[in-house]
Amino acid sequence: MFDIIIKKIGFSYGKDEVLSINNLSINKGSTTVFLGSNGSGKTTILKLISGIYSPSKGSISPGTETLKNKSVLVHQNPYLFSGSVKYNIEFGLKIRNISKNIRKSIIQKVLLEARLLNLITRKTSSLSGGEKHRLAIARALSLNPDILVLDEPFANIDPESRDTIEKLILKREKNGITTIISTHNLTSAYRLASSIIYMDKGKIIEPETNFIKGSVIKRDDYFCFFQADNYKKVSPILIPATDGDYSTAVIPYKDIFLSGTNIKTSAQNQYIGIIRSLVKKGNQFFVTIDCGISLKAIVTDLSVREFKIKEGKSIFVNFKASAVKLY
Amino acid sequence: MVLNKALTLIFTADREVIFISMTSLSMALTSTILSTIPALILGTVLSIKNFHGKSIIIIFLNSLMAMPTVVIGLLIYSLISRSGPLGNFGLLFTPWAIIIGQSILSFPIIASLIYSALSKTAVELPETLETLGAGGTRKLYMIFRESKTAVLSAILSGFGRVIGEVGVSMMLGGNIRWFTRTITTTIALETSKGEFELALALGIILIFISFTVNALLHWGVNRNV
Repeated sequence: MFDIIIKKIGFSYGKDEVLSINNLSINKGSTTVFLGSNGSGKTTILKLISGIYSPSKGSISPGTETLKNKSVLVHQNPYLFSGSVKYNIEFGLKIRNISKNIRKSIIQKVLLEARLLNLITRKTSSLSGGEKHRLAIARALSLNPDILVLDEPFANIDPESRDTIEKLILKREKNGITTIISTHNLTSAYRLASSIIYMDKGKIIEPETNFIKGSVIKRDDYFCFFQADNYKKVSPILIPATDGDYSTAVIPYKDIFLSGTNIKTSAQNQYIGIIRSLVKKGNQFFVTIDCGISLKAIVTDLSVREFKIKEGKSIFVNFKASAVKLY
Repeated sequence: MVLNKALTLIFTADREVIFISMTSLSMALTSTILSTIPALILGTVLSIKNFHGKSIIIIFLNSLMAMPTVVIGLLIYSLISRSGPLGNFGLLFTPWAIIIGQSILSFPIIASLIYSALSKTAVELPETLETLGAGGTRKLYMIFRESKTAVLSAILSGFGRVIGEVGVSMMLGGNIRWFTRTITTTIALETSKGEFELALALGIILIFISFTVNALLHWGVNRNV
């Protein structure tokens, strides 16, 4: 197991550079999700990470060949070989000279997890879209890769297949497999990711939402109390009461407002923090505040001047309970 | 009346009908097999490798697909006739002359269609093979396995072209009875003489051969999908 470290890479089709990333680290055992619109470079970065493509410039540690040997990529439109479900799973195992008995037990295990065991002899041409996706992921998992790379695994599939795939991914994360996913599906992205990377036009862009992993520790008639992981000393975030099991809270930057004093408003969440950074982008500023958990807000030039916002200054962070979405 | 006589020739297994049919079939099969091997290699190389002059080869192959059979017959004739550079081999007006001509006729068709079939394979296939750890020969085998319908169709198109051609067989085989007479040259000859029974019988057999080969291919491919 190893971290993946990307430094100043570029990738070009002919003369057109379609991807350019300065620095990116992906921790071993983490689940990293790439979010972005079509043509944003998600598939290209996934193919670079899985060693299918080599960068036109820059480097990816631990190297394209190692990445190719240690990872398995599942395409958005997975290619299944003609023949049976079993043939597809067995293919990679045979290449690795795994004995027949072990092959058999691996096939049984992954097909059971992917809810495909009853279809083991079925021809792939007769599978539904969701079943095809699950089979492709089961085929990848049967090889027990260090890195699992999934390109749009939730595209065009039924909710039941989506849940099965999410469970497969979460189980592998617990086993320490590094999982890298590209998706448009925000719900799945927020639920699965330990980190989210936003892409646009081949570049990593600043996200516009705070993304906090944690769990609901308490509920009353009005609120859920969401406690951020690893930040037990910070007061829980208040969210309008809702049922369900959640692991992520998302707060858009634009829904956070800053105040110089402890003002009384209808916003149920208020924290005091220290401004860690102030970055101007276009005609607005991205302010990072350390409140025990790190939160970001967007403010205007006027607000920066009015509140004398600068690094190291204490400030109050406010946001409504209804501004928080749970996943 | 003519149809009755033609059917009688077929169902009584007339010796000449059988001989002509077997000659046609064996020469078409031999030439298809002979051209398939280099066509398979060229088609594969063109589809998986990028090199200088590739476009010219593809244009050349595509042009050859439309080459009239009599022109190919003429070119080979000039090579193997007594005064030609290969005249000493005594190939002219032998079954081998027809096989050579038909091989040259079917080669560009098979090569071009195989190139086209393999090039159109989903981009996900080679990448899936790579990511699952298949390389070299195994990767190539799987690409063929997954493209088998298109590859077999290409070979069948080559066979269809040669089993039904007249020009090469007539010019290089000479339409010699009990030696180089094929279904198509006999049909041409008998029709020109106004004797349609044998021509019709052979026409029916030609259609039957085409149908059988297609059916076998269709059955063979669908059985394994």
